[in-house]
Amino acid sequence: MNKKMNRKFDTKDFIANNIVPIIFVVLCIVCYPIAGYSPEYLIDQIITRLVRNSFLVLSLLIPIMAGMGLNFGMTLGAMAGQIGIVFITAWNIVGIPGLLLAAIIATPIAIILGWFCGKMLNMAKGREMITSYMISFFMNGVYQLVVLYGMGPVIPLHSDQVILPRGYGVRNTIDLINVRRSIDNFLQFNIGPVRIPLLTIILIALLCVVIIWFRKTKLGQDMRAVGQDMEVAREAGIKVERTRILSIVISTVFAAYGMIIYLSNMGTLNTYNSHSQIGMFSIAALLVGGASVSRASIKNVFLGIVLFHLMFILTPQAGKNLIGQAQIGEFFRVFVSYGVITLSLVLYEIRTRREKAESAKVLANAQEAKA
Amino acid sequence: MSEMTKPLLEMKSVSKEYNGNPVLKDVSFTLGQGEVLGLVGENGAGKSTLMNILFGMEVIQQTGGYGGQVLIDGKEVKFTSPLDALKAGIGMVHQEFSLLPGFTAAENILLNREPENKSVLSLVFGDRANTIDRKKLQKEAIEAITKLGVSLDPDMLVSEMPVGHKQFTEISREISKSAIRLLVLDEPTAVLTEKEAEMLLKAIENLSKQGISVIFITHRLQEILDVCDKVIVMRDGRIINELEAASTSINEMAKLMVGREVATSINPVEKDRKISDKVVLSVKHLWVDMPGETVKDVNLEVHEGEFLGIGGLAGQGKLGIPNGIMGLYPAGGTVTFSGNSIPLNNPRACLDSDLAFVSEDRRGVGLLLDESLEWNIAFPAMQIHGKFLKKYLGGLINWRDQGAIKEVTEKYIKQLQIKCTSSKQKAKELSGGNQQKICLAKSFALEPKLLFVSEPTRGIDIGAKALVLQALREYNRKYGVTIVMISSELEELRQCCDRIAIITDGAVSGILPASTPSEDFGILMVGKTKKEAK
Amino acid sequence: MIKGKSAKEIFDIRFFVRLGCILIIIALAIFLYFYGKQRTLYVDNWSTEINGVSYRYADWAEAQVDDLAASEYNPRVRRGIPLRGRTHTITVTTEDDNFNLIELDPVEFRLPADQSIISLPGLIAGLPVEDCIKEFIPEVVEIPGVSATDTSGGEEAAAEEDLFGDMSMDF
Repeated sequence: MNKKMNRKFDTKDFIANNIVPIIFVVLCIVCYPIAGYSPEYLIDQIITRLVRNSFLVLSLLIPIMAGMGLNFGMTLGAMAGQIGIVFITAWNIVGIPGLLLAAIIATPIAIILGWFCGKMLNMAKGREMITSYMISFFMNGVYQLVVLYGMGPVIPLHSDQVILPRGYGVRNTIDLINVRRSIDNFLQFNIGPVRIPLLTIILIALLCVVIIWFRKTKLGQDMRAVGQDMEVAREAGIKVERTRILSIVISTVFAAYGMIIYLSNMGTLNTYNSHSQIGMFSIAALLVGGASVSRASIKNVFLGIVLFHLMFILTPQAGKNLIGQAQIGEFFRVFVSYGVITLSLVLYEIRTRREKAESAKVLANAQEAKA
Repeated sequence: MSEMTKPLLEMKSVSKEYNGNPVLKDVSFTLGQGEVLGLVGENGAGKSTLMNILFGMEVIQQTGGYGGQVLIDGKEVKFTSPLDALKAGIGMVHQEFSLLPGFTAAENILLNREPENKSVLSLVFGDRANTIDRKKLQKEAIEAITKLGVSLDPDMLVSEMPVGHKQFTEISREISKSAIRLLVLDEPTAVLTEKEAEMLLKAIENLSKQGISVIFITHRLQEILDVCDKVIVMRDGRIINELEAASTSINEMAKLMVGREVATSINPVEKDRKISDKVVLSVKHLWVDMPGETVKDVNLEVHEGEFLGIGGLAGQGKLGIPNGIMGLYPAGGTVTFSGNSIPLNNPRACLDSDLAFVSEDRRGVGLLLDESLEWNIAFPAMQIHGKFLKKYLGGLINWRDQGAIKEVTEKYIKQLQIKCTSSKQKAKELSGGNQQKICLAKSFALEPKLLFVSEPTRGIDIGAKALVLQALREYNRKYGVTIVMISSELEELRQCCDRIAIITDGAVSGILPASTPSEDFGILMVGKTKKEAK
Repeated sequence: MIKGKSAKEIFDIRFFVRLGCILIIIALAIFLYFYGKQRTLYVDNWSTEINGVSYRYADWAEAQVDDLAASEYNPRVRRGIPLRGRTHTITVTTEDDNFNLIELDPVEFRLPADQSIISLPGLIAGLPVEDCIKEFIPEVVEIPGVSATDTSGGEEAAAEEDLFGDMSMDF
């Protein structure tokens, strides 16, 4: 009986391990003819969104490597990035220098927030994800306090573009006309109707290289070790706590840069909620790419973003063509993101348990063979 | 070099107490360079304490240090942390693997000692920004493996390795540390197959030829004869004898290991006790996946009214038997209790069929520490058999019968001489021995037909031990309840049991009447009969 | 990280390299602040009074700031040009009464404020550029019946109400 199962096991296993990407691929294939978009349009859209989001999603890789799961705390990095953007908009610094300055301002904020988050997560080992999720909610409150009441009286910013007319607090929406697409437009060229923002692509490629290089460093090796077994790593003399904090700090800083790229591409900043869903969508995108709580690669990032966004471009139109309602796409976006995250978390648990049961099975097989 | 005259390691009358209980008394021995020393003894004989002292483990300092001297190269050393011991060239391979499953053998061997390429970035981001020199890592790992003299693929992931290779990886890691001079192997062969064990023994010989001394702790006495130069037999914290491996035998060692004078604090088992022939519990081909206590193939029959002992060395699987039957760990095989087969992996089904289990894990499984004694004793009986419940409205509403609970609790407190202020005291406030008695009382309250008792005397003092054993014996004799007691202490088993089964390597290696001389049990424990049979 | 180390260990090469990096980044930030800052220069062709002398607007002029596209200025025209950085050049072309094209030499100037105004008539008259450029302060004209502070209330309320409303945004 067991032998028969073994034969089937491979395909079953493949589907079980890649259930999320497979669902998305199927959905996209179904929606594509219904939506009726031209391939050029789709490619252009996908490239735009790939460029917009990949830096954010890439920032999630390092904590996964360190065994800390999905870093919902990347929201903190997004906040830091937004604060940088608010400053440069208020100071009226434009173009690429503006974005660079925003990154410089965001870095120390992201480091401090990341360090704080890492400290907290060290106190809640084994429950990193829920803790980081809650920290992001908590810090959202602090962020709102700073932005809504601190900017103006405490942090001197005087700009009609940014500050509410009452004299303090940042406007709900800030037009980023000054930095809009400034990275993308630099060195941009077209292939037919498809726009290729070369500089952004170079930046993202650079980050990929950094991540690959990082895996080869001592710190990267330590993180992988810590991610597998904290106790063994500690026995070998690796500073486990510090390594874990560093992984969160690095992720937060990259998330801040990612947010800056994202906002400059979008062109508007929703001061009070741009960041709050960015973590959710980034994580969902990564999971759609076939990553799990414990394993993720650069490949997952790009595949995830492509599938996730293909879905969101196709479904509204498909919905409209099918039942005359475009809102179904918007509905899908939120519904699917949460669904994907839940599914992945559940699958991860099931897989871990199954692996544990495997050893018992081996023993049983040995037993049967003997008997 | 003075190593020819001065031994590498010398221990001079080392002693150690834990809370006034002496666990090591006047231990002295010497170990020369390249010598292989076998260290044998029952569980609790003081082997691990001795090694903890040698390694300067924190436990030792926390409990008041040790007496006597440890000398390396003739100079006294006092290690305060395992790192000091490492610096002095002492390495240890523990029983549990300390390996990362997702790393290759090479990565594990050089964990946190990876060779690095200097990079400019390290000036900004610190040393850890250096990249790892994979080629050199590979080379150094292979060097260590060759030094050990085993075949091990450095690129193989640990998770895909057979156990033996994991062991080799672990040992290679110790060897790859520079200046390693003394290697302590704690039961390295326990998890190995025969072939792997042979390879390991060869590797030990190899190391000894290269001038590395080895302390080899094992329960397999044949291995001691195969590789060791001399053997130290420990019992009750003392070195009983130091033997030349060439001129001793398994029988002699086994005798020395277990052969103590039987302390007759309790009357030995009545000789004329009649045990009925009726089999109440029969176990066939039981396997249990309990980490560290794997049961592979156990066949056992327990007679009605019998007091059966299950003994054996730690890690051989004796604890797995009750845990598996009671459904606490994944198990398979057939278990029949009074004619009905019991579904495995279902604790409730076991309890429903009048089986009870006193776990060795008092704090984890056995007791509700924050609850009162009454609650602890009555809860399982209430939950499982619906005892102590008053029924109202034709059974629709069940009310706890506080009076009956109190009564029964006080009965057991008296019977077992539990030291407590009242039956309302919280379980966590009691001493270990009294907690153990509560566990027993709890099981007695269930009024089972068969009771499993696992390590009932672990961690309690001698006086309490006698009481607990006494209570068990009485319970068996007076009420005719069948008891299966699992214990690592042979003498304890011999005091109360009718028959004793010895578990070796996850299977029953023999069942003997309790009156059999302890040497015979000792030989069963080290699995000699099995080897001879082969 | 620093605990338990002697001064020598702290102030090693790495310390100075790190310090240098931080200083470079701060310097870069300051440079970016000035280099990237966007200021508006209003080029103005109104009659004006500089140092007590009145200058009449030019009938026609063309001004080019840096390499940006030149634009024509008719009388009483004022245009804002967004500029980055402080120092810029302006090239003015005008014509005299006989419609002869006169090209003035390019003039280099520094922007005195975030919003500055440069007067073409002054430049055409050959005044030094420092005199022609000054901070631009828009005149506030009070219109009876419309309070300047009145508008803020509505927007503020709207902004706060919006805070937690629309959480779905484009990703």
